[in-house]
Amino acid sequence: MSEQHALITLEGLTKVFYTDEVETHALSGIHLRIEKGEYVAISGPSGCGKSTLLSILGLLDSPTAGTYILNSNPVQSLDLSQRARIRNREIGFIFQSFNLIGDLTVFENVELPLTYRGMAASERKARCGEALEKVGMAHRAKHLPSQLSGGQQQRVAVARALVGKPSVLLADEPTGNLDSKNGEAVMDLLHELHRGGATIVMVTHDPRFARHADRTIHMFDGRVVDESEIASLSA
Amino acid sequence: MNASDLVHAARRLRKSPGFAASAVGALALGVGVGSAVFSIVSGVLLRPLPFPEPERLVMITREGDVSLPDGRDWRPAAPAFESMALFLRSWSLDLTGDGEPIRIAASVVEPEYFRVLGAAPQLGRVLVDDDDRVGAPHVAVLSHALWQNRFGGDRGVLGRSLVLSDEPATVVGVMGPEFDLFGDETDLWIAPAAATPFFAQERGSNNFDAIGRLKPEATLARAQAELLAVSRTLEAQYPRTNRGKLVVPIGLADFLTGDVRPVLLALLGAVLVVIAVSGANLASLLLARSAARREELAIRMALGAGRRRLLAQVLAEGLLLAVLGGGLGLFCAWGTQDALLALAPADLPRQQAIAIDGRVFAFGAVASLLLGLVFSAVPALQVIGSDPAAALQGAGRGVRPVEHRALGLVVVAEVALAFVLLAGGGLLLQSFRALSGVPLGFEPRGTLGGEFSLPRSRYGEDREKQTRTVAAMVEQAAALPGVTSAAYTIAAPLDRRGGLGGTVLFQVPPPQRPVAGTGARVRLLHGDYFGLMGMRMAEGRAFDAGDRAGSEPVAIVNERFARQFWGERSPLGARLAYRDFHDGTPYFMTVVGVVADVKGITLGAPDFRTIYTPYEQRRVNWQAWGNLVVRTAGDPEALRRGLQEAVWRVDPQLPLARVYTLADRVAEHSARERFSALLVLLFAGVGLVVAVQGVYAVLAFLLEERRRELGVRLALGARAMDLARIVAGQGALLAVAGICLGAPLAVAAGWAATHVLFGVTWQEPGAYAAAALSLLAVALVATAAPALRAARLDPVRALRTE
Amino acid sequence: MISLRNVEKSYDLGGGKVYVLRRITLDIKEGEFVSIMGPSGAGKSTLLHILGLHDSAWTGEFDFVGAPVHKLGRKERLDLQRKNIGFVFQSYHLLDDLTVYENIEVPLTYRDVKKSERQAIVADVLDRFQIVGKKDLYPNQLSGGQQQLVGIARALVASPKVILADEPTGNLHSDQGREIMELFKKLNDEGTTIVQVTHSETNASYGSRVIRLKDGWMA
Repeated sequence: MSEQHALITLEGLTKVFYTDEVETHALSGIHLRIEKGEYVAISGPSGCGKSTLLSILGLLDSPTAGTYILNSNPVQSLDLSQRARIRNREIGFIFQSFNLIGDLTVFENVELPLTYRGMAASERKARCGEALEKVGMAHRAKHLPSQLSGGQQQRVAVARALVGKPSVLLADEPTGNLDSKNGEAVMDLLHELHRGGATIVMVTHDPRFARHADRTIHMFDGRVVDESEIASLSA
Repeated sequence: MNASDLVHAARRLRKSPGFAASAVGALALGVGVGSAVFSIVSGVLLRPLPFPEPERLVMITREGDVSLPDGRDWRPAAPAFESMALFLRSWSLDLTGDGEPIRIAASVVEPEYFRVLGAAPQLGRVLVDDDDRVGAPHVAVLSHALWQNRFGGDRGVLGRSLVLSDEPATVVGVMGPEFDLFGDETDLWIAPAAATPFFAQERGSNNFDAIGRLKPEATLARAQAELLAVSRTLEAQYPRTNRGKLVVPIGLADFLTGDVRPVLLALLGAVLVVIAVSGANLASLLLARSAARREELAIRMALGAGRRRLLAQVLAEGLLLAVLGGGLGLFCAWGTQDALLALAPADLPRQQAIAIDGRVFAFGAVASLLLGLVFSAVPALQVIGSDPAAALQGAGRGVRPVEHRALGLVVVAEVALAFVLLAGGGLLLQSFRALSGVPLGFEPRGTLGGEFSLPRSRYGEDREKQTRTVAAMVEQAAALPGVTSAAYTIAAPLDRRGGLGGTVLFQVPPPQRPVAGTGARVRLLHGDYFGLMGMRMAEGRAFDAGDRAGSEPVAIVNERFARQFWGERSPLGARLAYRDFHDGTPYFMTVVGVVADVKGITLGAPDFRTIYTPYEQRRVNWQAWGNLVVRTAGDPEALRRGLQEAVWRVDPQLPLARVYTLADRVAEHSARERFSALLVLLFAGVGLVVAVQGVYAVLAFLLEERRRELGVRLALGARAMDLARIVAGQGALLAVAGICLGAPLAVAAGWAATHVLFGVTWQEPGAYAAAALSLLAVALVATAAPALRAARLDPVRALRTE
Repeated sequence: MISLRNVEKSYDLGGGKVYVLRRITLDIKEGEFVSIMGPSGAGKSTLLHILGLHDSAWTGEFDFVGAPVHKLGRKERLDLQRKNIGFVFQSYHLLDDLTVYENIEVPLTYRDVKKSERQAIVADVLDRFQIVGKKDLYPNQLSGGQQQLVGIARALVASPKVILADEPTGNLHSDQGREIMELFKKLNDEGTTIVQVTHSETNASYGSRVIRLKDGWMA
């Protein structure tokens, strides 16, 4: 695969948190390539830096050093409004705690990313219908999140992530707040989306879910490590 | 609660100065405005009158007042009263002898007066019954103020002889400073017999008021029944002076404050609203804070804190806020008290009793403690009452939607209230400005005037001497450096008395249409009065040297007079006959001029029909009082002393009283309007601040509540602007809803206030538009800080679950 | 020391009942070092909060140091908690406005310990954890590992019989995590009962026993 096709390229990505006395390296020199259409799991113990990495991939946070190339554009040092635009067009977020907005209906929640683009109402309606259809939640469009079960809420959240046709879906422990049956259902849904061509990056520390992915990236103390290395580190 | 709770509370407040400032501000505003107004209400309505058992004191009122013989007939017929006294306020006397002659205000009182009030003198004695015998030596009791100012507080003043309008009187006592029943600054008290023997003889001389002290067991109803019976008897006995005159007893406190009581109570109500609304603002601020502190409280619970300890900790913060906010509020109330009172109209009763005293302090302290403690405890109780697990796991955040809506409604109501007050204040301000801009018909700037009265003892009926003296005073005044002209008038503009009253008997030629009433005023003049005042001659001529005693009697009428009696025809050369109230003889005059109308009585009302005549041609000889007025090139205030000295050069014994400038008099006449406009605008300002605080507090609260939601929106691609817009939108919504609610109320209030408006109607769009615009602008300011904070939100922190 | 019989916890959601914990029956003896493990959402933290007496909305029977918790009122539960339990959190939960010294002192102030005694006890704990030099710093001036050290010192200061720890190394680098676990091991050797929730087999290996949860059931 040639260089141009890489959707995400990270080179020497570093994130340091400073406090008065100490500096903590959350990420130290991450090198990573993710191709279009890949399904990648990031796993590792709590505190290994995977959530920080996901925040940076999602342009919610910016790295202290290193480059981040998304769709051939360097995005590590964009200003706030440029980053908001890329989040809106290129990225779909799925959170552990669903994060649907309680005052808005299912439909309005899904519509939200499109409203930030100034899209016409009729087109928004069509796109939302399509996305809700895809996750099997079209019949609950007028409900409020509080009227849904956790599994249903996460489906709506997936529809919201999909609706803007982003280049990549970022999922942060998407099954973390679900029981195993609902968790499996959400994993199946992601798998199906992947087969339809979606690029997915998922953070999890559950090895069973990591197996759904094409590839698993293991992290430890802010670094990417080999699977073989894990055993020795954990010993 | 212990000391470390307070220390930690102080540290927490210091760490969030924005919150501390807003909360202290909200409290200080409520408590400050509350205490300031409460001090007025407390002083005027609640502080007991400075007399023993004041509840037994009763004013006995009769329409048109009562004469001494009539009032003295009441006493034996009304056994409900333990004692009763007749008194006459405002009896002017010239105090001469030692020092400069001055005009003083005496009260003529029956000796019983002091017994009724239960007042003891500070020095010497009060009046006794013997002092009121005809032929008894004249004695006087001094007020504390006169004693201090005129006699330097000399205790040797007792027994000194004064000269009061050329009659000798001996000082027998001095009253204490509190003894000032009506706040009208009486200088001394004399018995009726010492004033004039005429009072005790004439039933038609209705100049007196009466005050009585009820017997301990007597009721007002019984007193009323007895007084009704005696007034019936008097009506039968003396029908000429007593027909249809009802006597009504009123409790003294009611009599003094009855007029202002509803106004003050309404004011107190408004203040309670301000306090309640400040409390609501404080509650929103504290709710926003408790949303942020939920986790801290939960950790403390997990570490073993009992409910009581947590409550103590939260209350420590409330206490601190209460002390800071309440202290600041009381301090501001105390600091602005004098300014507030300076604005109060002069006819507000019992002003001397208004002060930030223990009662007001207690009011402020209780209000601030209640607000601070209750509103800090309530939101915390919600957290303390639940399991800490929920808060520790990041669930259960947020407040029930009911509280959201309640807070929103409070703010909408605040904005609506501010709108009503602002619009009302705007209307009143325009009304005040219209009143100030009303054409006066004369030029008030650069004028100075003073009143004098030539005493009978020295001038008697000597017409020649009176005329000479008046002319000489005008001459002396005109010669003062800085004076461009001087004149005499019996009544200057904006004097409610307006001249000598009388009736027009007939005119030649007669009026074409019937004229309502025949009343008119006569104003005597000497010198170039019209020129001095800048009054325009509409027709004919002004008086000149040829208009002397003995020459053909002439008159100049004002335009109103001319228009009503002669319509479009010129009155020049017309003849009219006039009769005054004291003498039935008609007096004939020829009209030689017409002068433009002036504001003769008040700014709002048109002048009387007026006849101006030369002083030299006055009708009767006892018309020996009036005003000496001058026009100056520079500041008239600088000539106060000079004007008095000019009078003394003519008569060294003659005081000039109530020296005034017409500019001041114009301002006084719009003082009530200015005060209402200022008061309402003051409240509007308070309302505006409250509304700003409310909008700010609710937005701060919502921001805290919605932090996570805003984080999610950021993740979905919302720009900083989008978040700011959400918060600003909320602010605008509150403001617009408030304005929509307030608009019909404001229009209704404006309509209801029509009768107090001058030169402006309730349909004035400008006032409403200005109110709406200023509210919107102010809401925008209140919105700015929370909106900016929303725009700077860090998505990673906002999204963190734990 | 700890004995649960058929403990269950559920909430109502959109008409249906959702179980977080089902029929939990377990015994923990004095001196044990127990790890609770399982996937996210299995109910581990909920169980820990029930053990810590922070949560009272559950059914079943729970005996703690001989007292029947299910029968106790709020005040008695609080007393029981104060005397016996120290809690360590994943995100430390230090009070930001208080210094290290004051954070450690807080539990003592809730237990009516005299000021002079408090000073002695806190000084002792600071010594034992070798953080005397940091006593006047605020939490935001410390690294994560140091903050957790303070968190544990605070949990220990009132000499509890049990320490409950919710993913105590979750936010830490591995070497800092190792230090914390070794500290737990040492405390356990000195006689403190420890119950921790963890995802990490490595951390679990410091303990004597593992309880596994899945979808609210004990495996």
